[in-house]
Amino acid sequence: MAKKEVMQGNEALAESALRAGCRFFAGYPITPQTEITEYLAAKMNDMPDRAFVQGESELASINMVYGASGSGARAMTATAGQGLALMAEGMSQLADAQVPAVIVDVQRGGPGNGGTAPSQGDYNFVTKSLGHGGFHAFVFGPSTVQETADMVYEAFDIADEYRCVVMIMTDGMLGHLIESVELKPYRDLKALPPRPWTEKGNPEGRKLQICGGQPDIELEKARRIEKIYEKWERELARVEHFMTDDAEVILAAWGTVARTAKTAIRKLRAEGHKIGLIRPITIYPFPVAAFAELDEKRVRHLITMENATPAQFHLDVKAALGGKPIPLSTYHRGMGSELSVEEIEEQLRGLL
Amino acid sequence: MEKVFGIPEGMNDKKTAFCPGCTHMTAYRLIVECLNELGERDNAILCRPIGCSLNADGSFDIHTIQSMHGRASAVATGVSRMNPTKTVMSYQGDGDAISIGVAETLYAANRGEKMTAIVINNQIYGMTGGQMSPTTLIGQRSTTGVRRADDTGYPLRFAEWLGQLEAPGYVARAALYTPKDIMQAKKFLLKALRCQKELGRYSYIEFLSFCPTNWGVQPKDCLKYCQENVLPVFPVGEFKSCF
Repeated sequence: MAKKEVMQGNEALAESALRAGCRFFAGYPITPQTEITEYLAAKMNDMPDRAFVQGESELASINMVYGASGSGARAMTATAGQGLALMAEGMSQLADAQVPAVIVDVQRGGPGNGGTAPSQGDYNFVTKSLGHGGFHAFVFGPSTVQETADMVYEAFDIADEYRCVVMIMTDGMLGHLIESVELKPYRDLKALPPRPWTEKGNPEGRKLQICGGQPDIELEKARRIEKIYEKWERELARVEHFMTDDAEVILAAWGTVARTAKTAIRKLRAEGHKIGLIRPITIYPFPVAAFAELDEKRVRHLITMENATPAQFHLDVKAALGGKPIPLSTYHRGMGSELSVEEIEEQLRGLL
Repeated sequence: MEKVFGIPEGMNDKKTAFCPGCTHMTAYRLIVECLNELGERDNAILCRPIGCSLNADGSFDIHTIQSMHGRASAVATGVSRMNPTKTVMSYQGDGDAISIGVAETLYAANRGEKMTAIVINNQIYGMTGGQMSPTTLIGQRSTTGVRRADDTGYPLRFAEWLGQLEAPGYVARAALYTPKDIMQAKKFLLKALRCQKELGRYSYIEFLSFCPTNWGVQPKDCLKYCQENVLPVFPVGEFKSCF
């Protein structure tokens, strides 16, 4: 077993990305993701066959990632809030050209400049469409530093396999949280899975043409990609059921809110209350079945909690429930103030 | 009999969608010829923009990556950093490189990326139908108005600007007008590509190009129009040379 280390979420993510074989990173400073950029700036340019570039903007950074990945390298960028908005154009191009990339969103407040405090307010923006055009990223919503490190490590493989963008959605709390973490080993850059569609992998004589195509080709591609999303929803959606086996009241939450909620749920369980948590681990594909298959005879209330106003995650839970007769409510805040254990407990007590 | 003129290796006779009198294909031809002469065509990656240049689709045999509008120099940065042995180029219009992508073009130059930016300067947005571009001349008509210095500013002399930077190895402007101009353009482009290949430095070359359709000038009158209007504002020459 590898040695456990104590690391900040942002730094663990950056180190884990290097271990996963990330060869190229371009990014622009923005709170609360800056430690990722700083960590990689300090390391990457001294490592063989890797490069770090501080882009002149998020626009430039995402396009550098596109160029690096499109010509053969595992590549990543990290940003937050308005930085992600600037990257939307490039993300859309990555989707159209089917060039894989890993993008980290350490969420801060919004809209506009918002604040730098943690938020889950990018939920709709990230899960519904990769920039304009309606293609999707595969989106992870970790809730611990360990999960953050594991997910970014896996993200590069998923991105390569499906030629897609994989996003890791943390927030200012998780990014700055210091926890023990066990990191996976460094991958041999020469032994990474081949990318037969890149300039380096193309059979001799066939030139790389990374671009969108004619309308009929585009439609065929879009239909093929839609099938991939259906496969993700069927096979790759991940969810954690925490103390839900006999639960009569269930809380649905993701990311850091779910993490805080576990403390409240443990306390209420110790008092004998039948209460549990459903935590989507992938927020796209959304684990629809976890909600669609709830037993309405047993579950008498489902409440969603999230660090965003207006509520966003709540709408996915509502859709997943599909009209099942389980009372559904939401408690959410956001805009720069996190949900505390005490208020989550208080809200849940009101449903007991 | 010796063949003295024909389609260069790596190009074909496919009909393109360019307007009569346009000089985009002359630029492409020069790129292919220069890469052939340097033995770099199979080793080259061209980052293409959004704009009229897309009309050349399928007419040349070079690795390409389609970029978003204005971002070709940023894409080329990523390509170049991960492929230091390749010849990396961006091909951009004046609106692409000097307006929406001015930051990306400028910063790639200022970082001294190992790449060559090739910018087609025809003083107008061609593909979208003749809007004012960063290089539109004072008094020139466009579908978004006549350029007047007091409200739309002056045509941007970008090559002169980049020529003042420390990092670039070669910065030049040439015209795709007369056969003599085109010979000079090829000479400059060869230098720009050699600057990248031999010295690992950034190079920038701007090609003055005809756009008869959007200028409202007959192709046969373009040369005179340019000699009288364009060349006084955008002089050809080398603004920086590592050779």
